[in-house]
Amino acid sequence: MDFSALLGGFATALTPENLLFAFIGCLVGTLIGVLPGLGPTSGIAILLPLTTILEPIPAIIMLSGIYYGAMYGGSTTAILVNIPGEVASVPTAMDGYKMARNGQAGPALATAAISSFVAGTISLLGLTFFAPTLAGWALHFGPPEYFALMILALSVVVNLTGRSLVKGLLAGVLGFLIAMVGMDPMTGYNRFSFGSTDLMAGIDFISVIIGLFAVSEIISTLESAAVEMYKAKLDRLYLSAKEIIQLMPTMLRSTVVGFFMGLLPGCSPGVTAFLAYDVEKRISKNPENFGKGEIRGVAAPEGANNATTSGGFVPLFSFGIPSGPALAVLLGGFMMYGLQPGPTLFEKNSDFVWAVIASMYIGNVMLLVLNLPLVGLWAKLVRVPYAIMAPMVLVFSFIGAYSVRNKMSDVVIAVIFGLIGWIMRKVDIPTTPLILCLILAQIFETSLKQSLSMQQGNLGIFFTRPISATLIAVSAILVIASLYTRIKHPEKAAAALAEDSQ
Amino acid sequence: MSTNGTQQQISVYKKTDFKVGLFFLIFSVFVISAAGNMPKEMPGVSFGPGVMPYWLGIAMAILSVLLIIQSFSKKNKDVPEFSKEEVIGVGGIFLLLLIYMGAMDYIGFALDTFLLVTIISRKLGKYAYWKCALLGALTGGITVYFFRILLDMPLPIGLLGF
Repeated sequence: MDFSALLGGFATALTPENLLFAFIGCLVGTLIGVLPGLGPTSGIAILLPLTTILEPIPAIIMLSGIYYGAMYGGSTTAILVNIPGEVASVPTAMDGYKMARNGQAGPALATAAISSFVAGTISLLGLTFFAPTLAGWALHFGPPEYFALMILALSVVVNLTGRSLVKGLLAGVLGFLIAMVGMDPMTGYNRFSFGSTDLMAGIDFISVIIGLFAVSEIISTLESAAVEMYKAKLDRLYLSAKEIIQLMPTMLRSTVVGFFMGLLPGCSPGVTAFLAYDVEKRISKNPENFGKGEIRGVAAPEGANNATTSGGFVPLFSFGIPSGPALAVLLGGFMMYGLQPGPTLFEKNSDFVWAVIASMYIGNVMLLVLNLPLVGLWAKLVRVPYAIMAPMVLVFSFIGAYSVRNKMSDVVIAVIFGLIGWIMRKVDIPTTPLILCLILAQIFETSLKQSLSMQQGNLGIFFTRPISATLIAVSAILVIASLYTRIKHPEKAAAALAEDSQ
Repeated sequence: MSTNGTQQQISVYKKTDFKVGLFFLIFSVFVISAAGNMPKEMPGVSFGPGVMPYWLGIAMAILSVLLIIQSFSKKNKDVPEFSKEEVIGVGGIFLLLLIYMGAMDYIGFALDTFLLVTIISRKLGKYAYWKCALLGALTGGITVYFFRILLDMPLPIGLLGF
């Protein structure tokens, strides 16, 4: 662990420009988290192309801020109006809303914010130590190891397939095929372009992401109406020192659960929040209080989902493996800037990666300061009718798609994929495997070709090199474990995976 | 839920899965045939540009057949179903968006966006026309000011010059 690199990261992150974009990211993330129907995935998707005017560091600082900011924001509406802004805040609503009904909205919100802050900060320490170590280990990778890494990343697809494994895999194959459109990077041959000059340049994944996540989400929720806000008294927006000390074991446990589960590909905040809630309930002396306004029922899921957001950055930075939909979109953002998350990121783009990590520490403090005083404002935003919000978000999505290459054809693609995304939701096909495969397809094909060229087309190369063999074995174990869970506990697995996949 | 209702829902689900499987099967045939015309070998690379699409087409065909088979035996309670109203509603929005994109080069981004936002907010919220028009004007004006003027983004300018 190189402390001077981290200090250098803080020096970069503390420049006025980067502080401003960290603040904007946290603010927009909280707003997105607060608003039901808009998630961090679609939020990042909409804003990703608009960041092309920025340098990579402020852009990724802002987009990361949106991701972890949304986790904070989701709890506000869960507690005040029983509408979780995010899947990860569903367990928070179970006790948080009851606390609000009992006149304890202030302490519930304070618990959510403080637990998020504590878990977020501790897990950032984990990210600071784990990510460079793993990346350093992975520096010896050649094409076969990269290919094996892609296999490991694609094994996540099994965890993101929702209720039907077959449909999820079909979505993955479709993602691969979309990536095949246009010029083959190694041979220059045009595939599936049918003479169209627009298609020869390939289908830009940003337009696909905007279509599948933002446009289709708006189409899907157009019927949503304004919700009635419970008129909770928002006094005592703080916890006493004694209360914090009493809650500390819960916060620490949820941090451990959230962070370490977050390291696993496919395990996203939506899953770990439920796990931490369950763990807390199991070890509680009064489990019957859970679901009736138990303060630990707020602290545990909020701590876990924030710890997982930081944990998810470990495989993303070290191996280029996104553990969930929002990080898959963020991975697209890295690639848009020509940055390849993975073993070489810490070596080639050290300034960038340490500035982003340092900005997360700063962002956590910003979120704590931002959330408690503005909680009343956030709660009121839920009442903005979708009829007003939807057309504005649509326009921003189109500008986002247009801004990548200044071509209307990208907007057309976004709209077409908006419709495809809506149909996929209706027929229960998850969209995340499609995006993940679309993003990884090119590296997958290139590393496969390079690897096979190294040994005259012999597939044995992947099993004779220790690292690639290990990674393929780990992928196989992860896939088998996922399939086992599906077979052994089909209802439980399907529920968690379905919630998580969208 | 009544037994009849459940049976009807499962039946709808089966039909949906069957149709999805059939669609992907037809699509996979198209992919395989298109990939068949691409070179499988090329000098200097271990395999040609047609190999990956071909095998992806095969994988899609196998998965489609599996989905069709599952559709005959699946007992799933959650039922996605397209209602006529929903299809008309989404179809209308899709058509509106196509018109929005088609009209962009002629009437320009500002006026086009004003019309889109006004129409959607009126359709969804049933607010007074002047309120919808105000929202449309604000959205169009703010986005043009921010993206075209401040950020120098070349948003389309129509025949009217704005």
